[in-house]
Amino acid sequence: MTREKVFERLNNVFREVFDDESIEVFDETVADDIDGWDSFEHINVVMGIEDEFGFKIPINKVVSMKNVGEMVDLILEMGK
Amino acid sequence: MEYVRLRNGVELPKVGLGTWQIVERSLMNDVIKSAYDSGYRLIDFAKAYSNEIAVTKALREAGIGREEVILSDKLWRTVFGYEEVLDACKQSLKKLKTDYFDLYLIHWPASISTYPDWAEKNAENWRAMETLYKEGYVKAIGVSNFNVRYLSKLRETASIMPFVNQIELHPGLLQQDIVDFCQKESIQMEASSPLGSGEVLKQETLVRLGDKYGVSTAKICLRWGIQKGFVVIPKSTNPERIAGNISVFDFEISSDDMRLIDEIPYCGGIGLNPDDKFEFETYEV
Repeated sequence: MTREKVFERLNNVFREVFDDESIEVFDETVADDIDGWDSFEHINVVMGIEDEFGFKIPINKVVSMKNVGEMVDLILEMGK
Repeated sequence: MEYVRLRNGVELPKVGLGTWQIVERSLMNDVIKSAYDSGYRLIDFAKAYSNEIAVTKALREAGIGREEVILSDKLWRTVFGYEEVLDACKQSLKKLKTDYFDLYLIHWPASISTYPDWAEKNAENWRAMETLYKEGYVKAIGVSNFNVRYLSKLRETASIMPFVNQIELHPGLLQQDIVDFCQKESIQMEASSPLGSGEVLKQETLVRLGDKYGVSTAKICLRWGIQKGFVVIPKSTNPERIAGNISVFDFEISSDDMRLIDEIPYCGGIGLNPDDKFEFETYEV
């Protein structure tokens, strides 16, 4: 899977989770950049990614991801 | 459906839908559709349940308009400060795509075992709740998990006492001191977990009374709560149980039988105490 493809699918996850079609995430996007992305919604982000990409995100990764770029790295790593 | 009237005239149905632990979107869609079709109008949820947006989407999916439901949300316990509370409520309103909540509750008090300035924290948060009420963001404000300590302290500074206190109440967990205090202050009790844990439904007294009245033990629990004057908010994801939990207005438990239920010893409590420090305390928002 290409990085571009991951972003395309990840954008859909974020749009679905936050019920906002205008969201577009980038490598450097952090929680503060998205309205409502707090620790409680983060659970929905993680569940959304797991559903979309079909793997479980290890709990230590759930809390350690610093931005969307690291999220994409993890998805690419897990999808190998 | 029967309603209770709060001190300010706002009416709440005696049975509402609890949504704790319903997070998954398609499940929420099914639950809200079933509940609405069965006659539920009050939907209780919370920021800490991670399901505010799920509720929003489920209402839209089911074609349910804002005015057709009574939305009750809760402020999480790590939010402190006047401006912070106003912001948190407005953030939640945004997630619900609405400009008002029917009911907004402080989920937990600042606990005495965690904050030396617990009383000031609760007073300041409540001052913000009063502003939200006065400015029309919320039709009724209340608290949750407040025991007599927190309520009586709040009374020293509040200009408007809470209209509602939502606590865990079910056969086997009467919390009589809190109920008495609230009734005296005209604070409506709302029973979270009105069916307790599975252990409650197995109580012999309840099983026997279920047989006597020809209803399930769950209905005995809910009817008991309603006759006590509580608003009950059972949670279920099973369409049949969802429908069953609201069909509790066609029988009445006698006063003798009510007393028998009152006498059931402690059982089935979730075991969370607002005086304790607990793990979510460190959970950042």
